[in-house]
Amino acid sequence: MTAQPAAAEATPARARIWDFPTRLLHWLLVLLIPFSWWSATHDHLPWHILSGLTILGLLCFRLLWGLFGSPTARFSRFLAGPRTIAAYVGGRLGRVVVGHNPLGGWSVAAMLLVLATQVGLGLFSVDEDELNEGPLSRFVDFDTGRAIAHWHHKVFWVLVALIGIHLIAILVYALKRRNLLGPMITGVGRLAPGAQAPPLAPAWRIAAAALAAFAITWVIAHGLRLR
Amino acid sequence: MAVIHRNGLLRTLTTAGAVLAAGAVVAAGLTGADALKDRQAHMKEMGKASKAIADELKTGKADPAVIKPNADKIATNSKNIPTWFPKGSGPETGLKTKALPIIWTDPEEFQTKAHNVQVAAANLDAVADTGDMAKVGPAAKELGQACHSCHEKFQAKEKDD
Repeated sequence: MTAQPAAAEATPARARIWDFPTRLLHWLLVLLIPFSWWSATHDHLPWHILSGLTILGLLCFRLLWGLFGSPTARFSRFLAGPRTIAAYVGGRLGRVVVGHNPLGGWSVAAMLLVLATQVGLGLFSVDEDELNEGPLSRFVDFDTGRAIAHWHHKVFWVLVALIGIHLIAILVYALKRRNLLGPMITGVGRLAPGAQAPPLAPAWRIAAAALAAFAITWVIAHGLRLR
Repeated sequence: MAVIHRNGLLRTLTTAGAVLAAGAVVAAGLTGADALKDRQAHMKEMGKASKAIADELKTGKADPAVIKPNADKIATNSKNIPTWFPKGSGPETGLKTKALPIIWTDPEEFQTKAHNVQVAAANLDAVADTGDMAKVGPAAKELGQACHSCHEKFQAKEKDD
């Protein structure tokens, strides 16, 4: 680690930690997850399905962005092994973290995984009135589709529990004077001394991932049938 | 003391009511539990037939040979809906059911909604018989809305089971 000038230590360096697509995706989920719940419980199933398909598109994008996106969005960078997690929890991690810490990375992965499960169940759900079934429901029989709809109701609460943990973690860090909310809004956050500002993925890659995500979602929304 | 007395009276009345209700069911030749199980089997049969029609419509070139028998099955079943809910075949059976007590406390509206299903099912059956598959979609949707209208009021939501 190189020696820092006194002035830089007084005001820590700031840098863009989260790129634009990651932040937009995050805040769209903040809007769409409660909307999905509201529209399902208030008998607005066509809106619920539209909202779910939009979330499917966002998840497809996030998967691609986790492989080809900016460094702080990549799975390979934020999914740590058990030893790294233990070191982080014990305060023995010998390096500075930019982006998700070893624990937070898995929290994000768990939320995305449960959300993907939830959307997946919705795709195959069968409605007993045959008015609003998932776009892939024709691949399952009535009983299976009803059982899937039942699990679609249950898994939502697993997602709610994980989001609850996520919010508590943000609160705990806030009490430790670490602002996690600000950087998720502006993208800019404080860099610990010695940390390097992460590079951002170029705009063409955002466009390519968004286009691919839209195409996948479109095909699924049409029941894997290209007419 | 008086409170205990009143509770005791209430319990006696409730028990008497349940016995009377059960009596009505037995008079119809079925126990409440039997009626409940029969009902659920019939409803499932209608659900499966509806799904078969919906899935066939999604192919974009619906085969009348698939649509017709299923529409017929729903229409036949729907005529019997009013007989599937004898008194004593609700939650008091102790079995898992989404049938709400309001079915028996507001029988007039229940019968009206059940009748609407019957009309929509008969219409779907008639439309299917004409062989004009373009008209089956709207008729099936009308039936789904009739089913939903009744379920919305008289069936417990998923979270309650």
